[in-house]
Amino acid sequence: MFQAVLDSLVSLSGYPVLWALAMVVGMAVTAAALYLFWDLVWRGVSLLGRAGGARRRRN
Amino acid sequence: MYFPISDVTISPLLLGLLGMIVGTMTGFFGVGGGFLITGGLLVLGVPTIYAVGTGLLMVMGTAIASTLRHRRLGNVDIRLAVLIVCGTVPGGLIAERVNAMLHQSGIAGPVIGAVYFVLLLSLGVFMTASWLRGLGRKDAGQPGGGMARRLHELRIGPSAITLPGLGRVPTRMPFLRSEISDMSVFVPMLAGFVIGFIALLLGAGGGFILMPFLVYGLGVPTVVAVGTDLFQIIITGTLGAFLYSLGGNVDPVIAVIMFTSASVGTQLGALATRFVESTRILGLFGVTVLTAGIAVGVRQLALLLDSELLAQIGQVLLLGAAGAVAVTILLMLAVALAKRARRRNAGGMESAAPSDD
Repeated sequence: MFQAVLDSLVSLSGYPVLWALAMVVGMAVTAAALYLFWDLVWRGVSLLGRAGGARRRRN
Repeated sequence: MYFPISDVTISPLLLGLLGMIVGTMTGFFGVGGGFLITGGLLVLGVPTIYAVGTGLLMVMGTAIASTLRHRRLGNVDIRLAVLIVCGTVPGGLIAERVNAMLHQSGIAGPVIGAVYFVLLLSLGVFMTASWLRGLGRKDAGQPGGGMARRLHELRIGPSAITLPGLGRVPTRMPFLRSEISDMSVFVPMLAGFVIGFIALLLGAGGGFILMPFLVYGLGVPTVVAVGTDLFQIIITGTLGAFLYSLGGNVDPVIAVIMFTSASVGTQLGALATRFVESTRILGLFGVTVLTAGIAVGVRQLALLLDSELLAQIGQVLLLGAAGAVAVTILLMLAVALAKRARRRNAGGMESAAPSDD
């Protein structure tokens, strides 16, 4: 899988404009995807924190 | 691990560590960290042209992720950022032409190196001295001094302009997120122009100039300056990454490995801005810029004396200082979180006590 991605990247490097667009768009999409991932993680942490706080208040 | 595009073998763990350091500093200071990424990749053995191109791609990615995070925390003044970018783009394009002229005359290397050294060193000394002077004072480091007031009151250009579809639009407006009640739109545009020119002349994102300007020049609160600055770096980073990619001088696999680990650091760095006092953010930033200035000076000296050893010392100094600052940020965050947890536990026990009675 990794090798296939690497091969397609190497073959794309022959087309400068396509390659440059792929780099910029690819990085933007990766950045947005990682942001969404971390946003979900923080939401999870926040929910757990609230649940813990509510439990402490009940006790 | 072998990276066929840049033809180099590097441990992914080392790339991850470098990414984590850069990400922490990006999230905390609002700088792209281009000088750090490029320096780090050079130390790891990546060829110079790939180190610069891959560095710019990383700057773009970390700036996008950090801006999104800071926007969620309410730290981005979009109106101010867009106006700055309006000035940055033409400034950057003129810098590209000046850069080409300098390259043609064969003096680009020494001129850019000298400008970089003077700028980093003077900014670093100014910020560190301001921080040290303010230590122990209650109002230390609070933005909004005399210079900020003068810039807010500055009257330049017409009082209103006609825009297609919008009619007559006043050129003075409030920037509420930045706590500026009224300022001419030409002030951030002009500042963006000058910063864009200097940044792209040096081949950097410009965060290390814009962040202090927003805090000390315009009186923007430090955390808002960090977020707003990152928005501008997205534009300069994308422009730079695209231009370098056209030449095929980017290794996306290295960039993605570093970026994935940088995203962890970015989240932690951005979170730390909520707990760490703004004076400490400015102080640490000053120390980082000062160290970077010294490292650039050592590198210039190495070029002058043709010394490989001095060049290595410069890079190690840069990475060592950056690593130490990143660890300090993470420690400050850990201490703040531990204090908050203790306070919450104590609060929980206190609120539970009456019900026991």
